[in-house]
Amino acid sequence: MRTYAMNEITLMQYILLVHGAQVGTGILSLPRQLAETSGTDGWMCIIIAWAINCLAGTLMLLSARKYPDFTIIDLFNYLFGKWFGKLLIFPLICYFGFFGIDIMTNTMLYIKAWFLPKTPEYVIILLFAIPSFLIVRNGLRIQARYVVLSFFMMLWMPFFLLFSMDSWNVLHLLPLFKEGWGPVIQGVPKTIFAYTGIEVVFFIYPFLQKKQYAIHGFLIGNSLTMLYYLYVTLVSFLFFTPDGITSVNQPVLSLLKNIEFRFLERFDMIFLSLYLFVVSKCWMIFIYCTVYSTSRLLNKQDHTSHAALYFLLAIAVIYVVKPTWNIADEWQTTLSYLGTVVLYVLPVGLYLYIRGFERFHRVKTR
Amino acid sequence: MRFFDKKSAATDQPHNQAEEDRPIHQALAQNIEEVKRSFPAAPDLTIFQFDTAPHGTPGALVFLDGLSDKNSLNSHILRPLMYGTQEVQKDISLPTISGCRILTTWSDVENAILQGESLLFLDGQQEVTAYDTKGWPQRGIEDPQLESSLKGGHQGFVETGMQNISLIRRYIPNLNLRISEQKIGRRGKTNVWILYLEDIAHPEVLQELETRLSKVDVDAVINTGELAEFIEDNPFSPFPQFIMTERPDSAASQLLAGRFVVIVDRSPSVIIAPATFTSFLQSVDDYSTRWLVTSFIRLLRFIALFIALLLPATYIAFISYNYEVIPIQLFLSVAESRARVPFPPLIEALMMEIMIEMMREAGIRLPAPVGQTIGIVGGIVVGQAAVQAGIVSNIMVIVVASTAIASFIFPSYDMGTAVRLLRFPMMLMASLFGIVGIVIGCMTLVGHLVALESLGTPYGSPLAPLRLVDMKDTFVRLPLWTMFRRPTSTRPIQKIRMRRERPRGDQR
Amino acid sequence: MRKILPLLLSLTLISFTTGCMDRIIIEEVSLALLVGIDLDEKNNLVLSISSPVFSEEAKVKEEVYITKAYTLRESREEVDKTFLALTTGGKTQAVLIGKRVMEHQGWFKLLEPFLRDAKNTVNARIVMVDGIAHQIITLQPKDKPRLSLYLAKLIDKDNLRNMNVKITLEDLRRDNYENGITASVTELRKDGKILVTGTALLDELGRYKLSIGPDENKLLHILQNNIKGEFSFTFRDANRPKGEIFPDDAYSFSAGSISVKTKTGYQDDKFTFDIAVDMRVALTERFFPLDILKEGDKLEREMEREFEKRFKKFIGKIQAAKIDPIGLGIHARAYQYDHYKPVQNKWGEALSKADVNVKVKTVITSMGTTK
Repeated sequence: MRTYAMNEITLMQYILLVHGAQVGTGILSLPRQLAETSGTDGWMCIIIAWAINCLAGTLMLLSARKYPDFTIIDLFNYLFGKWFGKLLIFPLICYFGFFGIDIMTNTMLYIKAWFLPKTPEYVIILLFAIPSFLIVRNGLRIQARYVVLSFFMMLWMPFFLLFSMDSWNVLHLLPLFKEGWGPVIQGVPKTIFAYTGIEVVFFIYPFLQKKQYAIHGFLIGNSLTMLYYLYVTLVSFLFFTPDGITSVNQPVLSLLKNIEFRFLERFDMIFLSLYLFVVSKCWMIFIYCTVYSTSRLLNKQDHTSHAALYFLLAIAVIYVVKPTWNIADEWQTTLSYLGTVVLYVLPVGLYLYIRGFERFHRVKTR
Repeated sequence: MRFFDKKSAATDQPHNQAEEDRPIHQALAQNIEEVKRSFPAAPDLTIFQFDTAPHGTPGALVFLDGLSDKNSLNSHILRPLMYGTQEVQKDISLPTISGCRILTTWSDVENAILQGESLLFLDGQQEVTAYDTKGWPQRGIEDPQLESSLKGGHQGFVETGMQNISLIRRYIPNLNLRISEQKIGRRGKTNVWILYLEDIAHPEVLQELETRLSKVDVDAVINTGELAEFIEDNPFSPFPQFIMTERPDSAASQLLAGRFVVIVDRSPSVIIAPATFTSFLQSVDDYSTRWLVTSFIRLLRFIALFIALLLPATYIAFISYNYEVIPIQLFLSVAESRARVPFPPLIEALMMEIMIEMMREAGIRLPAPVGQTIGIVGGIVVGQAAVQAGIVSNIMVIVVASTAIASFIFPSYDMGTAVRLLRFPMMLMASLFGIVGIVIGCMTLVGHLVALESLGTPYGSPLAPLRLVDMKDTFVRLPLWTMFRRPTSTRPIQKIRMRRERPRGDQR
Repeated sequence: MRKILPLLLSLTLISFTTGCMDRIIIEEVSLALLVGIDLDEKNNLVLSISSPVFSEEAKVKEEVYITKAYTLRESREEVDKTFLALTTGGKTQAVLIGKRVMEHQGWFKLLEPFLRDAKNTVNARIVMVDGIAHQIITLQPKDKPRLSLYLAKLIDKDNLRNMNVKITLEDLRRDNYENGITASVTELRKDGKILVTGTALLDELGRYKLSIGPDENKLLHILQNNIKGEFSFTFRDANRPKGEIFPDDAYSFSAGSISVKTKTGYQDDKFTFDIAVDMRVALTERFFPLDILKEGDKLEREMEREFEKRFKKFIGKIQAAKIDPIGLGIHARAYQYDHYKPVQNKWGEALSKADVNVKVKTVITSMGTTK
């Protein structure tokens, strides 16, 4: 069953794929959303959510570990039978496809607001589609290479937030547990959208070279994301006053707007445009998982045509819907709900089912 | 691609197999007739008939005039044959020449004559002796023009394949240096040699290379560049997928890194494969200059890469979309100089870029002194006058000039031209979508580089896939003694290349 | 694949022709480098905008447009009718606001377009004009560079010497939304030429309350722990004779390193703030004889007394005005959240009742080259 020999990925690629699938547009507004519900203690939500996600992801990998060479499609086929398995996997693929479009839409709205207010929405999506198609049509190994390269290329980005250090005030974070634990717990669900992405381990796990490190790798990737979010949120909280942070939609970008150099002003524009590299990792992984799965469902070896179809469809959807910030927000909320199911309900359900299934099989073979 | 395939399948076969395998006749006269028939309009074909010593058997020496070395022909073949020596073999006295072989079929005979060998037909014998008297007008060994080096050797490859092999052998006198030969081209019959180090180079890559070479079915391969185009991985890529060099020292060092060298007879440049993107930004001089200096120069090249690729595009984006990022002082001065220019920024930039490209191309065709004049006239006069006439802005001239300088810093000519070409689509994207357009362009480029392969090995290595070990010799060059491993991007089977210790000053 | 590719390509090309809708070439942009907001006698909003002219033939390098309008956004449409090109706020250097505007509640709303449109800058300096803003904007000083650049430089330079605050739009927004601090902006006056007079302090609703000069602004910066640039003071020693024509009792010094520690407490239903200021100063000027080696302590004590007197006066001023430009509210929230929470919406009043004690300690580190 080792059909993936050509597309094996190394541990580092695996880690960064997990991390890349998580970090998208969510981070730009995350500090504000956290401040709205949990005030200045919002950053603690990130750590709590991280712990929960570590558990969920470990559970996913524990289920997958029993069938190391099965992609999620094979797994579902094996567990639920050919037709029922396909029926069950279909909503998951739709979720991935929808996620891809949603991230592109979010990014498109940012680009539109910051750079190209008069350009039609679908043209911007078309722009995204060109490089994405070139990469997505290749195997997972190419995705992984792209993800690793753009991760290291954009490694300097978080450090630029440090230029706002002059306006930091540690007092903004105090006192800790201002209103007790209540608001902190309430803020946790807000992070779901930002943390979604760990579900790609279902798809990429079979490609991993050294399967024994799958859980370690996942934990590292997830922790990387956590540190990244924590850092950005803390910087935003330090920079903006507790009462003021809720008045800006994207604290990170507003913060960057203040950074000026002698030779370059308006750093948020440079940052946001280059941030495309970071976000593109995210949507590419989701779209890859989608088109790879659909082509596997239809027993096609090459997923190029599906990738092309996906992007055409995405452009068509954007052309028809003409998303606004409100629509994108609705989509994001919907995805957060779906994400809760995929991130937490699915792994638990699957794990329990597999245990039952195994026992049943063992009894039968005995 | 199918379009091309159809054509090649339809190529007709000029000779049939039976015709080619005809044996040699017994009678000399018949043989001479046959040769004359095979070479109808060939005034350079010489047939010299004589009686051989010591028994007086009639014989004929057949050769192409310009392709054989007259000196050795006359003194080492004709003299012993006609006047005799001590040693007699097969009824004739043995010529004092080492390269000789026996041919038995007509097709071999024809080939041997065409290659410049001289053939001895003897009456009553059904075999022909071919003597290696190849000799043709040759160029001396010179410093290659395109890749002149400051500190490396000043020898360059020449047009004779065998000589090129010997130049490389001088650098690597090692039994593991293997050479496999192939003939390419139905008419041209070019000799192509693949050189590699048996215990370093990866056998899979060798197989891939040999398969690709054997699949080339063309009339003739005149130049290495032609061959490269037939065997490269992605013909639609703007990037060169093989390194082509005229320097034996760089070829030798690439061999030692586990790469393959393909020498094409009659062409002074060789193919080095598999190539990676960053290897085009390295030169032989890098290793003979001190490592700190080299590291600086390497970084300079990477900066130049970005300048050459993105500077005009960034300029266009900044002045037609994202003027917010320019500081106010600069903004005012740019706007003031732009105010006189009647064209949109893209047209302004395109005009100047095309002008520069034309000057460069014109410079190549012209003899050196005139070329310089063109450079001065173009650069100073046209630039200055254009600004004064209000056709372009001052800043545009600066942008174009720095771009041009940056694009000439690359050690590889092929990569330089690729980058120069790529900046036009970048400029177009910038003029359509501003910074976002540039970023999308870069993403496309990165996506392409990541997916591109050279002989099945990743082209983006050591950046994508990331190989941290190779970083010692990518953006910077660390001291040679830290690089005790061969670069991993060539997938060598012998990984360690030197001892880790080095003699240190007083510990010796 | 072969069939889809050309289709995709042509589709791409077609849609790209619809691109470049957002293109504005640099010389066609008319930048609102300075924006002025005034109220006339009948309380109508008067907006003025100055933008640079790039044409070589134009003698005057700035065009100024003054209009009566309801909001900034609306005035932009007005402006476009006469300006050579589109007006944008992407590079605004300063927003000058007339004193009459600042005296009314809610003027901050007028700056809305700067904050909402992502293309606009938030780094424009906010300046209160003691007088009428468009009188400054229309000024074209012959011996100075473009007014917009000159103004920006003037404010930045004086801010480096701590003579006024430099408040950008983003800072103002922060102060405005934050309960624990009240805003303060640079103050300008036209008196033949343009003068930076100091800082205007606003109350919680953004209304203008009082002005402070350069000396008090330094104290403000110290209390804010905003220690950057140069702090130089000239004091008069109370124990010495005044001198007749030339002052005999004056001495100047600049504070090199200043450390400010604020302790927050709550006692007897009011907040207490103990601010300890630690200064290392270098003498720069002294008009009376003194042996620093022996009597340095005396001078140090004298300085401390003078500082504490000034701090006390300054704090009394802001407590009377019920404002908190220092941001003590932020300290209160951080350390006394339970007590702060009920008063956070009327913090100015709570502060006016609070005990604010400033303790100064100075050390003379150098007396210069003269003994």
